[in-house]
Amino acid sequence: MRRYVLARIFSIIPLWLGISVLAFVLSNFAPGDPATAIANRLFDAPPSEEQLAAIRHEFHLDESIPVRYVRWLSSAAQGDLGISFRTKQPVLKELATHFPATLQIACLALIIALIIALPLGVLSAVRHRSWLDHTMRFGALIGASLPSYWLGYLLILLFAVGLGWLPVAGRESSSGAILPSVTLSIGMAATLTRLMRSSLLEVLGEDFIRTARAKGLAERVVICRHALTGALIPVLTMTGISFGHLLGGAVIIEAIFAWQGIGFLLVNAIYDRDYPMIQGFVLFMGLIFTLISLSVDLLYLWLDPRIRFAKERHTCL
Amino acid sequence: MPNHANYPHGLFLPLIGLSLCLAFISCGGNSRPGNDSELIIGARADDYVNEPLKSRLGMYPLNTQICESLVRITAGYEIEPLLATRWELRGNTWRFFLRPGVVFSNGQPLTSEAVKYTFERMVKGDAAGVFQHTYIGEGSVQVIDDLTVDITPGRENMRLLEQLGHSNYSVIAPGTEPAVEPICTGPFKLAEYRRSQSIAVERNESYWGRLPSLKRLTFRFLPDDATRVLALEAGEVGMILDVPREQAAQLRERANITVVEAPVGRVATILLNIHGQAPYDLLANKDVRQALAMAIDRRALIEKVWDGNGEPIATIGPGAMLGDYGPLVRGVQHDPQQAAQLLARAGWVIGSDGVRVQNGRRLSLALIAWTEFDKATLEFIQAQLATIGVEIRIIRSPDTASYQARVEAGEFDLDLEGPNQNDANPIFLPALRFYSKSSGKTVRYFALGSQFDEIIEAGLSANERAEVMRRSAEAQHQLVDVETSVIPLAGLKRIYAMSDAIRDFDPHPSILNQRWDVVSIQR
Repeated sequence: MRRYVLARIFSIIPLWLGISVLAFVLSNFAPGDPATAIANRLFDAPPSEEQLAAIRHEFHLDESIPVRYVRWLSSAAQGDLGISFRTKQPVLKELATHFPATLQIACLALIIALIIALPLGVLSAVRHRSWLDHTMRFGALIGASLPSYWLGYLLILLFAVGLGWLPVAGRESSSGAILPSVTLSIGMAATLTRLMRSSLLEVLGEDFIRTARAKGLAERVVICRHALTGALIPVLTMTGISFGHLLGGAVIIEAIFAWQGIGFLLVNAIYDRDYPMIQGFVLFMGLIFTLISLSVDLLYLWLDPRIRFAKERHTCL
Repeated sequence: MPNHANYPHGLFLPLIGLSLCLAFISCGGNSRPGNDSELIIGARADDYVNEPLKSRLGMYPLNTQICESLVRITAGYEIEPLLATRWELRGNTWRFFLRPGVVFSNGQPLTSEAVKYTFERMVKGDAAGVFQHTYIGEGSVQVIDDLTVDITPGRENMRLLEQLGHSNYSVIAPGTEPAVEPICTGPFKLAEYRRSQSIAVERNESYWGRLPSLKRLTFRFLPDDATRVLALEAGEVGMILDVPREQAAQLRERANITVVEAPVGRVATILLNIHGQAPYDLLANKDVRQALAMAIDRRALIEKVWDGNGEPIATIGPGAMLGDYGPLVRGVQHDPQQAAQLLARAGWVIGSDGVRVQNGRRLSLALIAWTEFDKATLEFIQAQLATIGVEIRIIRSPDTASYQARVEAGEFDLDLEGPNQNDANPIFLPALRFYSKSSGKTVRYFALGSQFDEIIEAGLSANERAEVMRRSAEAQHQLVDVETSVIPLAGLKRIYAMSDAIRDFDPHPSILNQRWDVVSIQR
């Protein structure tokens, strides 16, 4: 068991190396010259060749890609992701400054999504083919189909412009996180509701549930203690994946709500061909994704004895 | 069949209720749009460079009037005194006489040393020399006495005075660094800067001129166009900058909101690649270029696509830059029939699919554009040119950097741009984009040649402003009427929307020269 966990942890290292190569190479092959992008922010006129050469030299852009990669990787291994071309601040500091904002709305969105999805999914499953089930499935379909940016504008129109209860955008007020979080949560809630429903329906059809019912257990106990444990595993996987996406993919929502999170940082970095920031972001998000994935894997072991025993057998062999 | 009556929905329903309630709780209320002495303005993204020696915080690209230049540019692009009360030109040396009694917001007096410090700092800030267009370098600034300073560019520059109105040349207090805090002489001083969120300025009580009526001015950075409009509608901000054209009409219908347009400060212009390599070499033929210019109905573009938010114009820059010489640039009239005849004369015949061909080659052109131009504008141009048998391939760039990569590589036939006129130099745009000795990287695709260069050089070295205007008009006549290497589409107006309570806002064609000190709010 311990060997499995350790092997799982060590398997992350080659994955990170792969991510670092991809992050570095792809950002360098994107069309557009970072020196020109930097110059455009400095001057109100097209830069001269001399200015561009000076900028390239300052940021080591006149060196070959392999040389820059090795330098970057060795620094990254020591926790130094370089200096942002755009802000001239350490990339790690920038990520640390912006990540809490994204984490705030992602966590809030996750909580809202789970609060909506788990009970609705369970209700929908246990009242299979009832009007409630049909209504919830229809609602989930709508929720999953709504483009998040459109929903964001609708929520602003209703709660900020119409009712005046919440701010339109920005982080100035404590309630500023509500609208972006709700916007992010709806699509996720819809997906998780459908998954919870289908997963529970599948478990409810299994023999051990019939046995539990035959033993005379209360339906509440059958659902909550026996069926939910098994049904939650795919939901947990999807929750982990969705949370990773929330952290890395809230770009549009952050732009609409002027929420200075990590997505906001990435968009600006891409526009300005801020290579160190793009590479740092990809590496950082790769780290977050792999850690979430690892946590989900370890949670499986805890949740499902079948997986735990299978791993133990596998590691013994 | 399971027994529904036993299911635990009683437990879950409160949770559903809780989730719905979550959106409503802890409502902190909207931030106030300001009172009669405070104005909150919704601006685009924060694009300040804020690093030592290079910082333009509060100056560029959003001028909050913390700092002032030696001269100011009026709405008619005339020069008027600001920190310098007068000036003289002796050979290639500009002598400026500074305004007496001016103090910086930290109490330091304005002296010639401040001007010297400002320019030396800027030169140090760019290893290649920031001032490529002004030719100011090390040793260019000489202190004559406390209030007299000489500026001698590295080579002859008769246009220096007109260039110095740009906010990049704002004077800062000696020994200070704007990256830490901009200490200047403007009507406002920095109150708070929160990167990517807002910049707030407050009235500078020691200002040498008339004090602003607003005590505080806050610019909130709201990059998304629709969000900015919604923030105004919700009353979170009192004014918004850069209203998207397509939303201006909707805002005009709203009670308590006023929409105003600045005079034309830039022109949507199609630049034609006249020196391209195959396959981008079709516009070397002047008949083809003229046909393209004749085929586009600019009035229809303004009225039907832009909802009237534009102005017909024949020149490549604001009309005010040419003074009385504007009529020298006639412009090309909309005449699709003659356009078709020109193409036929050039040997382009209609093919089976309606696109003209010549020796098996289709008259198919690549159109690229600044990212600000919407799909509807590009498709309008495409449809207009299709009527004369020209196929347009629209190549949309996801961002400015990829657009620039393409334009610098010469991989285009038509390039739609909308350059700003931010200084008062009448020949700035023709010299920057079409003069073969310009340092711009794309000039090789647009330069007209030695005759055109002579006009530019005459304009650059002229003493009298009227002469510069005449030369600029001559140059633009060559570009638009004679060679048709440029097709001006329409004058673009910056659109502002604001609460009805805002008074005395006088929109400037150049946002860099917008005055906020005169704005007031009705009680």
